Amino acid sequence: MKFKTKLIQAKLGLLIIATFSLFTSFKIHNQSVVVDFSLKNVDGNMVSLSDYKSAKGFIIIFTCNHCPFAKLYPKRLNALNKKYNKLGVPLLAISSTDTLIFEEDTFDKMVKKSRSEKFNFPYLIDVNQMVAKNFKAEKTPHAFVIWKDNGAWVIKYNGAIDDNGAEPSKVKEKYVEKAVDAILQGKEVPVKETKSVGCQIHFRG
Amino acid sequence: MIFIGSTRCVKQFLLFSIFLSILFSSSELLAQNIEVVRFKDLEKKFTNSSDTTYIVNFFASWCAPCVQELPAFVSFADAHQKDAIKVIFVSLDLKKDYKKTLSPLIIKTNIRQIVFLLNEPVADTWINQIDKNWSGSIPATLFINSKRQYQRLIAESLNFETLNKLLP
Repeated sequence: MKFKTKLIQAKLGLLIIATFSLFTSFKIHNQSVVVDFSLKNVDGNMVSLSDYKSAKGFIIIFTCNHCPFAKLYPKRLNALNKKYNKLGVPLLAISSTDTLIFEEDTFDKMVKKSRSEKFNFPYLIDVNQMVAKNFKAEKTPHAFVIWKDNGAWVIKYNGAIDDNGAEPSKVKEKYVEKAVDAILQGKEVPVKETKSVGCQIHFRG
Repeated sequence: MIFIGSTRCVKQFLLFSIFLSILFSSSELLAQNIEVVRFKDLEKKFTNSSDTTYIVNFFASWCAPCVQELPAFVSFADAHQKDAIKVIFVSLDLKKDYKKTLSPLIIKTNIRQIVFLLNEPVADTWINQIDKNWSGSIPATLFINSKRQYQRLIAESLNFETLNKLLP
């Protein structure tokens, strides 16, 4: 009996995922929605959005080891997570790079990177690149702020982390921080989308 | 004694000056083939009233497909030397990395013209100025002829044939 209900639950879950996948490019009230995922963290554990019961939103950063632009941000990512994790908006870093092309982006090297840079956030590997496709992430680094809205994860911000990768001291606009601050204050996100230069995520066919 | 000493001095001085000139000329060469520009100055190089088509290739040494297509742009530029067609190479490499990555690539690919290193950190501004529909992904190539009011951005890899096809 128990087994049966579990089976039904699993089927229901699959159905929900399937419908959501169909709707990923769909927009609810003109807002893009993404689905939850389960990705392996550098500590070996699987991580999902649903693991964070009290999270109001997330800062999702598509990044990688090899990209010169991604290499500019580890300290800033640690600072972001330090500031917003306690406010209910944890940061998750995801590497979706094709590890066949970029040897520097293998899981082992991600583990090393996470240790050497003292990442205070999960660094997840998106082996089949499904999460990057779901978010429509294009490059590294590529930041998203997602927020829980009626049980769905809605993209509130999409683009650069801030407006100066090369020189942190010259940053004038902290796009991600501004977006999160605005939502936490119940306000509209001032800049919802920005463009940036980064390393293209090559999707395997 | 004094005489011998002074010739030694002269010799040393000569050697030192040769050494200096080698040092100086090599750094000058770097400055000769890479020019760091802001966007407003770069824009002036491909927007003028002459009937010239500019092919502005945005690349970076860390972008594999960009590196792959560079030789086609070099031979395209060679083939159109006598035409009103000019290829402009714009590197999006980080300024701090140019010696390590960009310079060797320029030599390896045999780019004989100046490569502009775009030093414009706020990408959101200049990317939109090139093309509102461009995400900033590279390789990307801008075809522009201001006199003919032709402007087209192709954000994908190109080769010799496709380059020719895209001319106005």
